[in-house]
Amino acid sequence: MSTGAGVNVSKANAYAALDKSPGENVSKANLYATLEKTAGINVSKAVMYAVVIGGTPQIQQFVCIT
Amino acid sequence: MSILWCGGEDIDFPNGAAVFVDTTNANFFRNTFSRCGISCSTGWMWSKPFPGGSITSGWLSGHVGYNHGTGTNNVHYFGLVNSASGNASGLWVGEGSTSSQLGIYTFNGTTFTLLAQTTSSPILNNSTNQSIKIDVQVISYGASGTVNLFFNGAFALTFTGNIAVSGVSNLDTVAFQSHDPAGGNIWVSELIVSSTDTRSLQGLVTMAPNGNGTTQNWSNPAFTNFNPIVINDANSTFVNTTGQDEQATLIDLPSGNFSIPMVKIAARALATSGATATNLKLGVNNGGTVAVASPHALTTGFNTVEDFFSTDPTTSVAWVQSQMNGLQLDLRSA
Repeated sequence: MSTGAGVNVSKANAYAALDKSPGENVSKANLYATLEKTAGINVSKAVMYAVVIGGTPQIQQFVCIT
Repeated sequence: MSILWCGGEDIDFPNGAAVFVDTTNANFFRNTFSRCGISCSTGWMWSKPFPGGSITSGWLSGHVGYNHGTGTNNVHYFGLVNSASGNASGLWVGEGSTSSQLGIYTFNGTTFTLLAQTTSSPILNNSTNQSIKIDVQVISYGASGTVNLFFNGAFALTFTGNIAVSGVSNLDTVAFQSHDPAGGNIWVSELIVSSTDTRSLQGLVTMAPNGNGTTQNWSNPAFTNFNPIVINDANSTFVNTTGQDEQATLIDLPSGNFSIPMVKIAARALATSGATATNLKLGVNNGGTVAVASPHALTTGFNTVEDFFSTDPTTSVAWVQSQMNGLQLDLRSA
């Protein structure tokens, strides 16, 4: 049973994967284990931003002292 | 330069109405800096509060892409608002009551009040796709304050007087609306708040995950499971063991010479009830050295957590441009 957080699972498939029949008790631990560890932390989006100063190739200024 | 907050995608505005995201028309955002522009069809959205606390003076910078066709007015781009108001009350900028003019507004949660607008020949060109940069300076928010508005770096408008909104004593959040009541398109991107002048900023680069990183200890580990432009909570990477890292390579900076005064990492995350791992740390892998910030205690529903780094946490000194493109984003369970 391959799932990720938020993936729909039919009741029939869930009972079959848990080796249970409708009406039997299913613990949360068993359910999460069967769902391949969707218990825990789930991250659906992550992004990094950089604020930048400058942009075009900058002209380096030098002062020559003679 | 003290950057107080930055953002530009739906993940950065977890409060309010639904975000609309445009990824197709690069005329509405700078596609070498951003992946998209964002907008609301109705209502408004606002960010998490600035991590350094509220302000009464500061700068807000953002890019606005639009095409109004025949032109429009009474459009509200974005603003500096107060999160405690729960309704994006505060100071806003946008287009005035006269078509093609810029305006400064207050918003009290119900009504936008136009304080001032430009009066020159049309400052905005409504006939073609446009992308403009707006910088807003707020000085002494309150009964006797000043708002200065700059258009593509040039001074455009000022208002001095009562800029206060009832019940709002300071500003700690960025809000945006960018809804065109005439049916045109308006999109905002690259929003930055600073305590100092933002006109010198080149912009905000979105360095989103674009490849699998060195360490992938989480389930469903491919970077494609957590790099959508539009939030997709139906797909995620997940783990229920503490101390596990999940890494991804990142989109490069544009070409050019930059200094980097601030990096932000944001994640949309949850921890299921009763889980072993309940906290998330955000950080980077810089050449094999990994450093993360303090843990975030996650809620049982998806929400945004974010960390700001004024220096590279792997070196504790300023970010080095030559190292930026090799950085990997790091998610660590705790």
